[in-house]
Amino acid sequence: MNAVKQFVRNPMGVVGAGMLLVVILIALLAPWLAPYDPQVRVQVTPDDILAPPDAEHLLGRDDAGKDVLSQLIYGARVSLIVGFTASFMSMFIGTTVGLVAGFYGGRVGNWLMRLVDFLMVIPDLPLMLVIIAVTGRGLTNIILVIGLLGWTYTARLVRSQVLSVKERQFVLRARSLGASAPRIILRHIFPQVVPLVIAQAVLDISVAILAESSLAFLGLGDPTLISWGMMLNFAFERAISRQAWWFLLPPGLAIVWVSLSLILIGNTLDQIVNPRLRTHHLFDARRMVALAVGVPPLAKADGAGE
Amino acid sequence: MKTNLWRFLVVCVVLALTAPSLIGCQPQPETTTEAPQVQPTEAPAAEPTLAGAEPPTEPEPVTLHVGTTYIWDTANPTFGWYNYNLRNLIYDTLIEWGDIDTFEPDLAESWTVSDDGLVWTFKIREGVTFHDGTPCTAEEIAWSLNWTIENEIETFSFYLANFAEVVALDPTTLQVTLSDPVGNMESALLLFTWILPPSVWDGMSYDEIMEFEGVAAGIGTGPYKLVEWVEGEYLILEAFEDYWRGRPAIDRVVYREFATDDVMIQALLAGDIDVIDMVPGPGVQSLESADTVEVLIMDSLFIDELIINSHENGTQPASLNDPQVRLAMEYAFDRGQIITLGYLGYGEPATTVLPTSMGDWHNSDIKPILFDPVEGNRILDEAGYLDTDRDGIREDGEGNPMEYRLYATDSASNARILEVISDGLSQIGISAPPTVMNEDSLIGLYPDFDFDLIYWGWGLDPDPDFAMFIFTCDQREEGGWNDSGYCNEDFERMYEEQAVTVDQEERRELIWEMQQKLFDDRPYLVSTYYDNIQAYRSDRFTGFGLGCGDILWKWCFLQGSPIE
Repeated sequence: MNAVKQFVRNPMGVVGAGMLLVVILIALLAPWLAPYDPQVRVQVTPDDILAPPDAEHLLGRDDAGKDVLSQLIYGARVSLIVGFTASFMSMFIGTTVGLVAGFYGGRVGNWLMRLVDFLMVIPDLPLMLVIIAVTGRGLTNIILVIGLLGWTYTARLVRSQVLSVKERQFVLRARSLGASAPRIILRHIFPQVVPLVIAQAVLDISVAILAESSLAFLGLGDPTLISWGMMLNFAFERAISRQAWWFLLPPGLAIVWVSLSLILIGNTLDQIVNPRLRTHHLFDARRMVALAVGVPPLAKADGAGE
Repeated sequence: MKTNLWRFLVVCVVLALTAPSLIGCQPQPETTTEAPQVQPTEAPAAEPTLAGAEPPTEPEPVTLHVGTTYIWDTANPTFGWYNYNLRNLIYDTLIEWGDIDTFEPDLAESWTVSDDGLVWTFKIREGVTFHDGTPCTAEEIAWSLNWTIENEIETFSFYLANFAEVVALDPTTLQVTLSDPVGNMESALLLFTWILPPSVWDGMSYDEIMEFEGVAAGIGTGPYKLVEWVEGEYLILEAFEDYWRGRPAIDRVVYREFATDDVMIQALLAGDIDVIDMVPGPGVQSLESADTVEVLIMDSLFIDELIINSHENGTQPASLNDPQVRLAMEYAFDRGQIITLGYLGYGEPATTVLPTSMGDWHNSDIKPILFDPVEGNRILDEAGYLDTDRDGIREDGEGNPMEYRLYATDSASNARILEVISDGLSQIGISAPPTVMNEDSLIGLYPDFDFDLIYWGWGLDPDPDFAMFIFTCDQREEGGWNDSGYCNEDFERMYEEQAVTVDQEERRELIWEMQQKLFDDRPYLVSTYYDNIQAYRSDRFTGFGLGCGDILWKWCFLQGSPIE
């Protein structure tokens, strides 16, 4: 529970969590919050098209005469669904690959990490564009593509952590007691990497949301769903020459809002759990020779211990 | 990790806010192409006293920049089929299409026809040369027409189907003998059969002709010669010194390709370009409010339509071939909303394949069927298409749900139009989720007619022959024009009959009957005859003819001149 306390004490994390909570609430309560149902096509006159904001339509209307505010509210759903599911997928794959590669090492680890390197060098967005263009533009495809391409960094992170954890004494003890490899991985090593993975997964959510928006903006989103990227796609082609800022700005700012919140949360978590930013909780800084000799106060100030 | 945070923030803000403008960035052709043409830096006004000693300074060439979303697919005139106005600036024909319903002498100064309508004699203009300097006399014209016929050059050999013999009697006389009399010699047959130089095209095999690319493919006798074309970026035309009407007033025409309409509109407002060849509906308002821009909303020969797959070997579901289903779909086709959303109101609801701008050719007896889903539902109920499993989608007699594939090319306005179509169809119990795809994928469906519904459009000839030709059976072959797969014996017979009917009133009746036939069989639900909207910088250019429906059309374009 120490981590929770630290999180609450960090203003950056609290602000981020608050911002995200707002978006989650909006997404959940969309049917009650949205003044209109954005899925329903409306009969329009030329005056309704890109009509500026007024009392009935607080953020004006889009190029099909539909209420922008309602679309903005419903758009939160797509972003969150894509963000959370895709990042959960990358987290799962990345952790598995990282654990296996780190624990077994050798040829298996080598091949897995070469696969990671291979996927890392390919620029993600163009690859996604090609895959979506070939497989079709359903929401499932978009989630799969983002999830299946986004796990590489997590895998590297987990592997490096596993490499260090598996040399620890408690692993040696478990092994000498006759524990099987899967048991060691799941019961002894996995818990040590979970905090790191979660911090990374939160950051991945924002990457996934941005990826979804980029795809939709480039015209490769799910055409049956309203998403922020899709709104930008239409605004970009049809609203700019009419100076209809009310159609262009809100989805852009919404994307910034949700990405920012996730990055704030992710970085706060990262600061709490990442061994490179903090001393690991298994590490007793007081016993480290270098620290004991050089800068003893650091160990005290550093409250990351148990 | 601190730096990582900032990197993320920056990337995120940049992506969300500036991605539109980044992607909209256009290559700047001027910087690369005009660099060699260094302008004289001395001001001409300072010259007079030294005029005797210095060579006269060249006046700065007048360049007109045209903004377009797509220049063309190939420089090769034998199969390219985009931007005919641009090709028309490069090549000449025997007879020129002037204003929307008039025909002017071009390379032929005058012509006579024998009493039986079979022998046409053209007096050919003297002193015409191709851009490469070779002469263009009756000999070359005869060669060009014969070459077109022999090689079956697809874009224009159909116009020459009845040509039995083309000979040059002397350098200024061309004689054409027809196998059957034709009613539309001036109005259709010669408007697009560009005269190409034997110096370039002679001796090529069919495959070599089809693969020929490069600037030489753009050699004709027209007022402008092709200088450079970079695919997807720009194209440069330069005035032809020896053009038979005299050197055009505008020295260069540069076509620039823009990724999106909005960027193009901003470029016109900013003065980077001088003409937009086709302004999308949403842009009209902001252009009209600018003092320096003149917006032209002109009748055109454009139609947009929903193609219904009518090929007997197509992959469409059987229910789509039922005339009653098609009739019901007509009732579910909300033309008013399509025009409002897709064209911002700049179009009129359509009935037949021939637009009202064709005057008498348009069958005005055919009354529009107004949007009425209740009637559509009634027709489907009566025809036995019921929603037996109560899922909101009707099934045909064999229990197959009425689910159709609805496609269009990738653009925001098409996406909106498909929404309207799909929504209308869902109101009569037909499911047709919209799919937009790039043009290549769409054309890729054609060899097998692997689609149900496609939203598409055409620019027609001033004569109805071509519009009817589209629906003939032979045109279903790969590379043909028939995009619905329609093939009907009666229609075929009427088409052949109208082609040889010289009496224009009789021919009109046939054309009306053919329109009625197409309206009843519905290979197309024609949605709109939309306006051609163009805009130009009225502070820089003036005088363009307005009768052609396109100020870039040679006849109207040559009337334009720069404002000093």
